[in-house]
Amino acid sequence: MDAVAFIDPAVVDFINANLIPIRVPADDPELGPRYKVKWTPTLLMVDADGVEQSRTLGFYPPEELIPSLLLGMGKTRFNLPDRPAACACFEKILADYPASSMAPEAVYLHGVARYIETREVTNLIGIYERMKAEYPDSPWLIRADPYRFLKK
Amino acid sequence: MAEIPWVTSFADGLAQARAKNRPALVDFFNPG
Repeated sequence: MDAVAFIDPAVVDFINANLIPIRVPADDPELGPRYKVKWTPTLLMVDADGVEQSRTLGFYPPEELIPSLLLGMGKTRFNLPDRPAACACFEKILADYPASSMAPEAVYLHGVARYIETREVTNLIGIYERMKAEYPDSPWLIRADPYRFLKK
Repeated sequence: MAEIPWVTSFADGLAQARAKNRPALVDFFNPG
């Protein structure tokens, strides 16, 4: 990550604008076991209480790392819960990184967050319809499959 | 060259996360 992603100017700007970057050796005797770190690179998104909100394992190139970080930020906001802020993160993934491997999960979580906020079932149906139209090969289409039986 | 200003104290990083209302990104790296 140091040789590619963490020196990419867009990644550096994104992290500086949105996150607090913390670096911990994986063999840290207290934090390694607490977060069950078994391999590197492991990236965690944690809230201010240190509670893990998302995790990635393995290398990400810059064009995948930024949407991955947005997804983690969205999950963090979703869990607060600050679902409008979460939706903003998911929408940015879909607007700026629609070809990213994170985009299908963003479609799913955006629809779920909108449903929880509004209780309008069209948000769940919309997950399935958008997934089928734009990401038909994604495993997230399977997870959204039950929503095709819902009635508007 | 652009650089990420990594915080090396976990507690300090969480304090900054609270003060700035941001999530913290924790990179567990291989110390070699």
